[in-house]
Amino acid sequence: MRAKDKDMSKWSQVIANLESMAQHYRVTNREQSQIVYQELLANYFRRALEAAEAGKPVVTMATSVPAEIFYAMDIVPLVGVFPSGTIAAIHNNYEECFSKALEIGVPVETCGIHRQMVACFANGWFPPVKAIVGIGGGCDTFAYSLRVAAELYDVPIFDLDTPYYSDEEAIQYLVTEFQDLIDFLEEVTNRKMDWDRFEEVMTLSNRQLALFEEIRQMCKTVPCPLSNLRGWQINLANWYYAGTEAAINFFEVLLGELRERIKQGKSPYPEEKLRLVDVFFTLGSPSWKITELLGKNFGAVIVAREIMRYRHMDQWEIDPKKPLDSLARKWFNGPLWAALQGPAENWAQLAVDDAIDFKADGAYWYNNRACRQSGAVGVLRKALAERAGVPLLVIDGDICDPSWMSVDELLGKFGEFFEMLMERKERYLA
Amino acid sequence: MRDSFETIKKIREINKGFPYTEPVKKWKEQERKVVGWGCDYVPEEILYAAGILPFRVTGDSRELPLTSADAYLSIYECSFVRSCLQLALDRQFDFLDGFVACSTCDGMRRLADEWRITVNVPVLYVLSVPRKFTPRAHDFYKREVIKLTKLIEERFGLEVTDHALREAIQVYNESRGLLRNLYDLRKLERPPISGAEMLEVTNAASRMPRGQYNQILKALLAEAAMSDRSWEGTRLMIGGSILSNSDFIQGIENMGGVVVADALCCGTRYWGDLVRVDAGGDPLAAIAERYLNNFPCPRMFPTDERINRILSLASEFQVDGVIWQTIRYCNPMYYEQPRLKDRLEQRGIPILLLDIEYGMTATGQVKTRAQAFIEMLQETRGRK
Repeated sequence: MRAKDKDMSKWSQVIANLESMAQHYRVTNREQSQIVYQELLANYFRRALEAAEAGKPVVTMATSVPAEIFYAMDIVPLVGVFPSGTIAAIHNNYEECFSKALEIGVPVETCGIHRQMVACFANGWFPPVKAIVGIGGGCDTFAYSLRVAAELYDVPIFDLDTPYYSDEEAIQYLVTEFQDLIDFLEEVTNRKMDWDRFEEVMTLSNRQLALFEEIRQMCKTVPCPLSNLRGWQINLANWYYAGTEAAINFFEVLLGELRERIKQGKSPYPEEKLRLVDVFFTLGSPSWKITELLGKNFGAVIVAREIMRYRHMDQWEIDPKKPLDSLARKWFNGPLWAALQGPAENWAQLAVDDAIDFKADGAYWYNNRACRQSGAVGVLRKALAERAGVPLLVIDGDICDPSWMSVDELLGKFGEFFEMLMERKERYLA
Repeated sequence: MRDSFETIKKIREINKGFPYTEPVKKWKEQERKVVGWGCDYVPEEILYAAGILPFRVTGDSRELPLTSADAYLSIYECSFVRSCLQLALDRQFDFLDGFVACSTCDGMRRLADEWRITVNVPVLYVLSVPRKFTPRAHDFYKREVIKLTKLIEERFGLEVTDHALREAIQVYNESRGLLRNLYDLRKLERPPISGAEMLEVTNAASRMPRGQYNQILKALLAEAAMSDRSWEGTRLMIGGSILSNSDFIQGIENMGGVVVADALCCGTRYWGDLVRVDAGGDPLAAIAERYLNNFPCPRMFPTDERINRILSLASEFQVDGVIWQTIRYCNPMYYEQPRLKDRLEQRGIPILLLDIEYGMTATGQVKTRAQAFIEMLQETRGRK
């Protein structure tokens, strides 16, 4: 089972498209944060291709494998599911991707994010990578799909093993896993870990974490200053550029804009009518415009995102002098895994806390087809209703396949829910 | 038509009562505890040593309407975990005094989550199971096993002594040895026992006290030794997701196949390896080592160990082909399929990949595809 010969035309076209969008934003005087974000996206593709062409090591990894380790070793990290989703969106070749996945034995009963990724590897659309790093736990498909990718590109793979609970024993176990990962990377890339550089990267990571949390806390303001789409974008930057000046720059630019908006008491939308908690994944499909349309058409603002947040911020910190220990604590308390790892009750408590603290009127779960995290719906619905008095809308969708549901159909489902929320709100105010 | 072994008839009678089988009823009448376990990585010996009857939580051996379970677990969880929850919601597991789950896959984790809020049988623990076989992973898993042991002791006011653990190891190893002897009979050119019967035998293992089970296995072996009964046909191995319905295998065997081997978590993977403990050794450590090192689930890494074991089985039992059934949404199996197919085909062993729902029989499209596969194998064998 081997991939086709490498074909970088799709990848190059993505770079061209993203760069031309950045240019378009510049000439049309869009918000600076939008321009900076677009440049980050384009650069993510460009740097991987240039590195691979120059013989510099590129390593594909699962989302939330700590990018800091790679930056400290001067290895280019490449989160697998992000480029493949972008390739499918920009080339509008969803069907081609899904057919390819099926052809190699990965059927429609698995999450589309991973099917797109293995398809892109099978088609040779990823640049040459030196190795792959998977991860178990939380969402275990991240471990399995990357094993197929490694086979397709015939490269070594390392699987990060992550315990179910997040106690001290688990943290120390993860520390040793990170050390093993470094040993693996040193062997397959011939790059040595630069521990001084690692300390610098962790200092940046600490700064980035503080900025990320400051932005999140700003969303408690009424009206919320952060737009729905930008709220998702900060997560991508936070993962893919963890421990970099680039992420810090983006967050600082955005913070400046948010401070200004708060000072003026402005919402990014004509009016803020409803405040929402997104308990699971984003609304990437049928269109990225959806989240913005929720704001523009309904005045519905996403004020908190549960699988994108940190938790127990008073119980841990990043100490740059102890990078591996810090990364393990950050991992267990950070985006995706703070919610998805361990019992669903952890996740439910995050949602309940945010629903209360961020004064949410409702919550929604965009239930991605074939995603087995959706087994926690019952726990979250019950917790939100009983402990926060907030109803949960569950929509069966597909964040990768626009043919699953039209924009109008999805907006219709939200519209009905918002009507109910508005009635509740009016009754409460009366 | 071959007459069934008398022992097999007895086993079928026991299984018919699932989940509250006659032996379990008798156990409960003595006011003794029964604890459910959800995955092969839960060491039964710990429960046995505490004087508790370990009981494997599965769905029924047939396809169930999942109306209540679907209200709590999304349809994107496999129908195995939804079937387990359905039976629990129907109060069929009310005889259990607790349930021990594992972090082995997302489906099992989410079953534990929903079980906690919907079922009146408490989830005692979710065992955190590493995905690796490294010494550190072993240390970690051993600590988990110790935590589970202490929890069982505290919860039920029982004591798990080294002596009791050694006895448990001896009793469970005896089962493993007896099952190996039974499986060895299937290596014969014309095995005396069918694949469907064998699944009934392994199903019964965790539905009755282990001492009684061992007696049954001995009786079955004795009966097989005295019998000239035999099965012949295209030699098949079955693998994939958990499979409890022997009618599924029966359906395949009715088409001219004989299932002589399996790579199932309720078959070879369940009983495969012995717990090895020296006279002065730590029995808990030995148990932990066996369970983590056992014939791996596809979740484990590196994956070669599992695939090599499957290839060895295929060769040991001289199979003509492999039927691989995957319950819809069983991701660990789906992502293993491309690599497994590759390896088997490199060895000239054809594989049929089937998508099924838990509990279903070999009917409809599954039957048609299995029939065509067996015919293809027969033709190939004929040409050889």
